Amino acid sequence: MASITIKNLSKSYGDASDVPAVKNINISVPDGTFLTLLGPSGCGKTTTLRLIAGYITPDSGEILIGDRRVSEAGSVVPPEKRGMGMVFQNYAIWPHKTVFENVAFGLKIRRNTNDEVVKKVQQALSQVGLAGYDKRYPNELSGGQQQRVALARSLVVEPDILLLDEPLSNLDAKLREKMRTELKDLQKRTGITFVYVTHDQAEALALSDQIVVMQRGEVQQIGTPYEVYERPANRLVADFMGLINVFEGEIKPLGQGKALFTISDHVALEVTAPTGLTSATKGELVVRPENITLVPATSQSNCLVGKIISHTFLGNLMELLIKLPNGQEVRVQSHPMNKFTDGDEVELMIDAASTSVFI
Amino acid sequence: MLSKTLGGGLFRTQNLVLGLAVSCLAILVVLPVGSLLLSSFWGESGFTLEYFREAFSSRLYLMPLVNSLVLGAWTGLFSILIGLPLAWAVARTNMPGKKLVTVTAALSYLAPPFLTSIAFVNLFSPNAGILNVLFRDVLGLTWLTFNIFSMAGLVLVTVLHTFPFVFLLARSALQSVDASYEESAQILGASKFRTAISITAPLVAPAVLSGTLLAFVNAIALFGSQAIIGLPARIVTLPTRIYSLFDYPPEYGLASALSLIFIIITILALYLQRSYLARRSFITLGGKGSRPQLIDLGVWRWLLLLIGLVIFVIAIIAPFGTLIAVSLSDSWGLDFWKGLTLKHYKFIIFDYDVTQRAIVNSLYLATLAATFAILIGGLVSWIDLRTKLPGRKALDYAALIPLGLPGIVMAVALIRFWLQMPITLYGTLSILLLAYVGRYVPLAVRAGNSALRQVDPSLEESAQILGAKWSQVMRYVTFPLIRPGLFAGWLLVFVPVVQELSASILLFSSKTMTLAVAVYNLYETGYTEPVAALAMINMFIISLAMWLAYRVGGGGIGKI
Repeated sequence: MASITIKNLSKSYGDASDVPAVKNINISVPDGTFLTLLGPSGCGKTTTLRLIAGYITPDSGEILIGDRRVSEAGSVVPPEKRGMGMVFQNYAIWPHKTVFENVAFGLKIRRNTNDEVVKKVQQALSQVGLAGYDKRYPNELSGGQQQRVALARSLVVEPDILLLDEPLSNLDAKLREKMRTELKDLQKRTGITFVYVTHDQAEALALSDQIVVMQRGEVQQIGTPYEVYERPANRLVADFMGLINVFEGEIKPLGQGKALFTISDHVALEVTAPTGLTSATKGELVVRPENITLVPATSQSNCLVGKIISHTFLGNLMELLIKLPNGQEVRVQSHPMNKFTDGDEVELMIDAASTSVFI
Repeated sequence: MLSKTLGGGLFRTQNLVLGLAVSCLAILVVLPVGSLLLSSFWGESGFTLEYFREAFSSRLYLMPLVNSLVLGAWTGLFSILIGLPLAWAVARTNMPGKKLVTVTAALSYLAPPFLTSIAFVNLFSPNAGILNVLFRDVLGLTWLTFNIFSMAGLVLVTVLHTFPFVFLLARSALQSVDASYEESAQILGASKFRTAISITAPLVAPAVLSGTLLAFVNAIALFGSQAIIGLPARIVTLPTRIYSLFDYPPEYGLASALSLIFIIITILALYLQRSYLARRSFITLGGKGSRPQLIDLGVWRWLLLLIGLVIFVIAIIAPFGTLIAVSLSDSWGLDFWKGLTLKHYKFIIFDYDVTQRAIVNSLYLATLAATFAILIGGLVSWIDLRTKLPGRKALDYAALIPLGLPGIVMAVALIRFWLQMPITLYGTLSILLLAYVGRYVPLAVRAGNSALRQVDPSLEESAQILGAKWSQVMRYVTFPLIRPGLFAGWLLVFVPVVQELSASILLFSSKTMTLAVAVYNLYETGYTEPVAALAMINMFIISLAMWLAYRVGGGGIGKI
């Protein structure tokens, strides 16, 4: 059993008047899940991970591994008694030990026999593609190889839970992509519960079964990658998960879970009603740039019309900036082969199904 | 919060070891200083300001105070006059012999001033100093004679020890000023001179001032030179006055009061120094730009080389050449070279039990003191850097207190404290050991700190999550990683302890004679040649330690 249950967890550093690092967090991680804590720096994701590891004692709340309570207000089972694995951002490979000694450390602490140690270390090294490197010292390895040593070192003790703190952030883009795939594979193969911390939303989307979006020390949303991207729970999540355009306007309930969002006098969209909407009120309509289609404006257009003020060629797509009559600028991503140029009047078609409304 | 974690009973060894380090620090530093404070305000009939009243009203105590300040001021001034031009020359010009200048500065700092004092007395004592004899009696150049027993003589000997503070700090500041700061002034039309005055000088001034204050603090704390040169010149200073207060009957209250005044001066200067240094790091460590271009001095660079050579001769060759010559001569005088002999070495090593004991005691004490200091230093810096224990900063500051304690004041504090304790420590090796560990624990904490800062906490955490207990983390990860830094720190403590005089002079007994005290006592008794031989043994031990330190990576030696 290696599910993790976090209940009402809070922790603040320094005196009580400080903003808490994490505030009233509730997460439950089923056994064998790849869960990602995602958020900008300072959002509390690393604090949460270190709370799970037991390096930090919570101010309130509790953490359970399976049925076993490991952290509660003011006291914790120390990290060395939790049987977890952890991969650090800087890998934390001991520079004074060889690759073999690094990987063997946990086994020796667990008093494995020499034969077992040798066998398991070799197995772990070949699992991460480092067979034959056992006599090297860390300074003789590349960043990617050190990363693999760190993985092997954590995996060799067969933990039920592996914690990873931005493990890919020090690698170059190509290698990061490759390790991403390998990590995902590894998790599937071993069935270990992964808790992964990152600030890179693309990484989170690609790897995770579940994403916990955190900001300002609080959990903003928990969901599958699809849910947090397409159905962000609030502005903060929408903003963090990718580029957005925000239209201010009025929203009016239509019944049956539908609502009408009015952007300007003659432009309105039928959208899914946000929870808690009872009467007409001011709101924000959030649209991602790829969910707006452009068509040449016609004189009798009674929808959103604007003028292209700049375009940027990004290779796989074209990014356009459109200025609306009220002065608002809207970012639109379209196919690079489109035929618009700066100064063109265009009509903006918003895909109502992929918008989010926040009140 | 982590304190709760530590207290969980699961961390027994950790609590025990860390608690031990804390109580060591209390016994070494906090309690003695506390009892010093108490005894300067506590007379026969309770609270009193009598001691301070006397200290500030009698010429007997005011003059030493004035003399100490005068000595410190002159020393500070001359440290700038020598240290700053040399620093500029090394950092910014194409002068030849930069290595020589740097080595001179390092050696001058390391050479114990009481030994250089003795050497200069052999050269310049008014009647028998051989250079004075040479100029006056042989060459008839009376105007070239110099009386070392004067404020000028005292300042000369002291400056040789303190100018490296200004030199080293100013050099590193001059080197780290980003060239682009100066280049951007020049591109705006400022001349080289204007640039130096309006850009460079303000940027390095804090470092220079900070070095000068360190020079001041160190200068006034030196007991040896002030006793050897100052007393014959009737220049009594704070350390020598405090020393004389321990003649029978000892006047503990007055000694404590004077010590407290001494501490206040020192701490004030160090406080100023810290604030200057803080400003320095704020200003000059800005960019990662290029090194400034070296100024081509043309023929003038040979003049700089000459100045460097002169300082090398005065600071190194003269004192140590003299000591070697004296130690090998049958009887010191103008024709010393006629009867070279090793008998003085034989005397102090094989025949004279006092010096034998002194050498053995000093080596023994230095080994123990360095080991204890580095253990405490390592643990204190671990607590400071790795835990969130409340009060860890206070611990760190407590470990810095001895920096504000001149050696003799440390001795007074220890005597005051341990005389009130039921255990007899006065007159044993233990009280010397306490003094040494206490005095040099700041060096050890700094060494521990810089060693530990090189080790990312995650290296320890990753061992922990793999199941290693605190003791295992320390043993398999932390200690192996910081060992080289700790060893360098160990030597950094060993070297000054071997030649410690300022505190030892009040704490030794005939059984616990140390090397420096033996040198001083032999000198006082007039054993000119054996003193020199013993001084050379002292230098040999230090050189050996320095060489070792250099071999393990030069960690911290010569740095301030």
